[in-house]
Amino acid sequence: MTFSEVILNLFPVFIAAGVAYFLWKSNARQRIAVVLAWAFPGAGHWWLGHQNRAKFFAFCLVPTFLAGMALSGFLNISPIERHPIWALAQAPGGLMTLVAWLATMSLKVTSANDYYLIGCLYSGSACLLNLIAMCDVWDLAETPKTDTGTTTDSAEETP
Amino acid sequence: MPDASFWIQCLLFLPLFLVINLVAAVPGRTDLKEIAKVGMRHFYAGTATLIVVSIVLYFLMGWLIDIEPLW
Repeated sequence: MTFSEVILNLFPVFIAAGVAYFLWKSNARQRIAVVLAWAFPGAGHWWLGHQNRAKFFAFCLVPTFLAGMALSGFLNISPIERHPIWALAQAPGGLMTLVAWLATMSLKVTSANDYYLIGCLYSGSACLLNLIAMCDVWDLAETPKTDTGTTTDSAEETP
Repeated sequence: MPDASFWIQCLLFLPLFLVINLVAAVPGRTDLKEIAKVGMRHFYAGTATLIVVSIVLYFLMGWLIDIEPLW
């Protein structure tokens, strides 16, 4: 078994370990916020009440994703049949990726496109940058606990 | 000299690089103005660094290719 085969076989294990760690370390608020942020850039921030931050992420990531699709002739979002390796980059795009895939899966390549790979890079980068939004929303949703078991916010309210 | 497609691809890199720098400046900062300021600063510094390093590598590679082979 080669090194790359070992990595590929261990990939599902890493994913399962990551999900288990996420479920173990997070509270319900963080889980909902991160899932929303994964589904659409900025949705998690919006749900937490950080509207400006949500708009910032949405205005940065969605146009980048769409620009990538336009550059590649709307053929770049395809998790399985066209480019399996790009699927890894597109997976953090969540619903954005899913909707784009479903909307463009019937399109066929009819001519060569010089900017196809640049389009893949744009869309893939937008989806990977959504990971930063997910990490940010995780931090924002976290309510630090004190030694006494009370939250920081409630501890500040008590005299 | 590189063809027009090369320069177009270089220009297409810049908006993506700007978005990457803006989004990467978000964690740990609360003020959006500060985020934009830091992101733009990183974009300018990163672009300048990339251009300088690319030019140096271009001439270095040209010089290496022009050296007479020893055998």
